[in-house]
Amino acid sequence: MSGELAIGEYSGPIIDCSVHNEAAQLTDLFGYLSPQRREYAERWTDARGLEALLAPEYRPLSPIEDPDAQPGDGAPAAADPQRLSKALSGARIILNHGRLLSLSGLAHWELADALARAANDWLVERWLSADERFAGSIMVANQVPEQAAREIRRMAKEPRMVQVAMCANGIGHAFGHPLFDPIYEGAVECGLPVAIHAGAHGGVNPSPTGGGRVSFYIEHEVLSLQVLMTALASLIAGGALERFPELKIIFQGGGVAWVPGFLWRYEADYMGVHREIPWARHRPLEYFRSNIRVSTESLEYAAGDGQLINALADVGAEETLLYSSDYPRIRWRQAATEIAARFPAPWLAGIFCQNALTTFPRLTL
Amino acid sequence: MSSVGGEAAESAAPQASSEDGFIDVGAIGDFGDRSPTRVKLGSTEVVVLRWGEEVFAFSKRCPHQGGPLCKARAMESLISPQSGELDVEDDRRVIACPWHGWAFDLREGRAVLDARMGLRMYPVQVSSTGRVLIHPRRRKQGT
Repeated sequence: MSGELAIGEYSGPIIDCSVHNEAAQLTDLFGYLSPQRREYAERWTDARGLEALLAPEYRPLSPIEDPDAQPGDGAPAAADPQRLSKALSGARIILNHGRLLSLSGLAHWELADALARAANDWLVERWLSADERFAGSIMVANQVPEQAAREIRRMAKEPRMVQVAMCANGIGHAFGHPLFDPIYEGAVECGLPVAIHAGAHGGVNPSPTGGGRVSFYIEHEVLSLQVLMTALASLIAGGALERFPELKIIFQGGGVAWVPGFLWRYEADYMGVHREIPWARHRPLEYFRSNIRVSTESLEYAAGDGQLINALADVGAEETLLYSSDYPRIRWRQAATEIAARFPAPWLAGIFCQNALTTFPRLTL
Repeated sequence: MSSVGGEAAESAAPQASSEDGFIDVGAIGDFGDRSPTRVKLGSTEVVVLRWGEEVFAFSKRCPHQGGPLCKARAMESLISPQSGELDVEDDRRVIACPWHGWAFDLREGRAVLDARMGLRMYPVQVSSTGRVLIHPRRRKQGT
């Protein structure tokens, strides 16, 4: 299914863990809603309105998608399965949804859940059927975690759905809060990791930035990792990784350089204030290595890569990083060659393939 | 021995050394309950902590960053049967450094969260007459 690829010093299979496929029109999904819900959705919004609702602060400012990934008929990039398949030829591909990842930002939680179900059915019908190299992500609207858990169990019956995908936070508590437990319980029960993607600002979501609301796309971009930091802090301190020791969480879209500094700080503070959270029986670094994976998009530039590599080595990056092209984002073409050129050769088999195979139990080559 | 109450009080007691090397640092009643007290053992300065009838002696500097353990907090050890629940761990006593909060098991000497790091612990005896005796040679960790 997945061929051998040669990139720099690496030769072997490649698993691309985060590719953002799109619907040509968001209203295409309405065909997968129940008749009652479809009638309501069509009265409620059109495609443009839905898009604005999904990411009001972010989307209009984004100039970041590869023009070559656009079908040319006015549809967004990555809306054509054949074009995407050709662009990423040879790799095993995990489709991770695009704009729809923001569904948890909708105030209308019932419609959000209905759209998530529609998006998952659409993904299976329109995309997984198009190429056997495609695997899918079960998108959930997390405003009501019990509903999300039902959707996980429903879609887990499709063996090519290999992970749960979340982006926006529909509750306002960080992702380690016990309110999210039904989602993690469902994921663990079905043997699925949970991907948490940076971004999806607006809607009912809290600001992605802790220091106040920001104005410009570049601010959203460089600060998106705050969301992931918050999630990691919360998953450890809130005890989620103790309640679900088999849970695997994948952080996406925030790069990798934040991880060492964040964990160093967490380690230092944990030693001093562990008494507050004695249920967190392990040190942050131990939780990170056992339960957390980080996909490589968008890899930071570093003048001295040696420093970045040393820092990443300290947190077990060889076994915790997952390759992602982030297609159709503008840097997707360079993603694999950058990693092959910048990371130590002994890490590459793990980053490009082996770490994904252990993270996604359903995935085969 | 004069009164040594207070967190950072220092013993100025005349010290007598027994045949087996233990040094008398005062009456047990001179040490306030759970109040760390600096005591000189010849050229060495240690911290003495009485917790009920039990007495501990350990190094005065935290092995993490050198915080003053004469100002440490003596605490019950907390455990969590499951997340969100707290309980006191039976029979475990800890101190926390005032600088960064690193906690150490008073019986073992080891850091609660990092067994590689530990206090220097000194052998302590309480005589039948209620005198606190400390040996100036450090105890092997974990004994």
